[in-house]
Amino acid sequence: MIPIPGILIALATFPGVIVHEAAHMLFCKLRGVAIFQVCFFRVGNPAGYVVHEEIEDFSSAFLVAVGPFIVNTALCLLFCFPAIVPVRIFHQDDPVSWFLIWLGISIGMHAFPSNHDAKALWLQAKKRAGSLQPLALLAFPLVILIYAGNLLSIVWADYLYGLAVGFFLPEFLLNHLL
Amino acid sequence: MRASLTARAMGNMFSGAATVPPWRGVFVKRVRCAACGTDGTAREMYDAEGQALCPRCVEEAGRGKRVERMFDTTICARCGRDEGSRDLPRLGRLPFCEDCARAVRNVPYPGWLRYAFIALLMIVALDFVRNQRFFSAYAQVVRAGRDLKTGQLDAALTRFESAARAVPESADLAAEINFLKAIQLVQNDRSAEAVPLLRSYVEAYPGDPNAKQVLLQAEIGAAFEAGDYDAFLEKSQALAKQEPNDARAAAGVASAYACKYAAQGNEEFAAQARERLEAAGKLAPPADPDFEEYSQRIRYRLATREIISRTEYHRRFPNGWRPEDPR
Repeated sequence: MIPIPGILIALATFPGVIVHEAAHMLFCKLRGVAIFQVCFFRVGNPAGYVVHEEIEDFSSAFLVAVGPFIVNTALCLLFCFPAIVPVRIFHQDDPVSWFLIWLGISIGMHAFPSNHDAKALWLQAKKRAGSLQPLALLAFPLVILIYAGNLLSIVWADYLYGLAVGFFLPEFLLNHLL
Repeated sequence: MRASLTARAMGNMFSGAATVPPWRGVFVKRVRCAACGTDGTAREMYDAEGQALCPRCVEEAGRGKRVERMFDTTICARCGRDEGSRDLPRLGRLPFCEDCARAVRNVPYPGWLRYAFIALLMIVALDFVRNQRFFSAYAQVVRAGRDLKTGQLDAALTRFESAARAVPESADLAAEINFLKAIQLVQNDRSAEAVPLLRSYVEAYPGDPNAKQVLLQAEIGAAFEAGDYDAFLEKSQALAKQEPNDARAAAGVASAYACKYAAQGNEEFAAQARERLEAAGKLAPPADPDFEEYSQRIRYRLATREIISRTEYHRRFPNGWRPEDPR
């Protein structure tokens, strides 16, 4: 594995950062959470962020935290889908298809919520665990998965996730749907 | 990260955007510094874990404590509107006037993001339309794969040909069609015609072990059809060596010896054929109809010394041959 500075990865996959923050923002808007500041992309760490009010309602906190996972995964699949069959199955080199594949995988790579999102979710879940809320209980293994995913990003787990969703999932779905 | 950013954002809001109305000073909340006693507006002060500190004292007296900017609950944190003595409702920790509260709950996506997203969706939709022929071709390929699994070679070939019409530039599809045509030729006792098709397939896909095996089977068939029983035996032995646990491959060697016996009358070849056939029978699954049919053809050859094709054998003995049957 070749270590590449995070900023270069963020630059090469900037659409994913933008979609990640847009997804946080989308769920904030859907759940009526006040947004104080949004940065969709910048050259820095973090590459993007959404500053919102502290969320009291756990389901809203959950959705805002995992929003990028839902939205980025869905868009990764959507953007790669029309391009995968000609490129991967029929080996046709087509710039538009390759552009969509780059776009889709870039978006898929940034599907994992950040460690900060995981921490916020963890704190919220801890508060509610006593009441045995199913969503709160689900949050614990999810947080562990998020941390593991982010930790494994040093061995390109985020890229592999994007590749799996964008490059392999369309073929798997087609094989079972057709 | 978000907490620190929130604090930074709050700081920005307090220190930056607020335009102070001229009447503000009358109503603003005032706080006394816990360190030096200086009186100041709440917005100028810092909260060091419950202690109000002025900007001059915060460095020294706030060391080691969590320090945050204080805010005046009567002044909107976003637009700076002073509500006099009325405390504003809060969003999180911050006071917001009604207009600003509504605004931060409905922050719109920037135009560039919305337009870019719409443009990308249009590209995706157009690409779906543009690549529709690839999808329909792939649908045929997937269904052809299912046909092959159920042994429907002709139906699979038709589907592959339909896919190739949709994507004529695909060399893979053309090669697959040739491969299936070759298998069809082998099945119809026209192995010699299948050999060149399979050779070109193996050249194109040298890593495909299945194709190499099919080529070897076709070469065996071609040798049989040409009456070259030495080549038939040699290639059958090569296949049996490659597939030592395959009953049919082992029976192929018996078949070749049976041909040599039928052609030359040498009993040594007949003995070899019987020995190999018995060994093959031990490898075959019990009551395997395909193996039984193949064995009977070899036994027929040994009993009659007549070499006939599989098609001819089935024409003569549609229910299989028994030793008591006439020729």
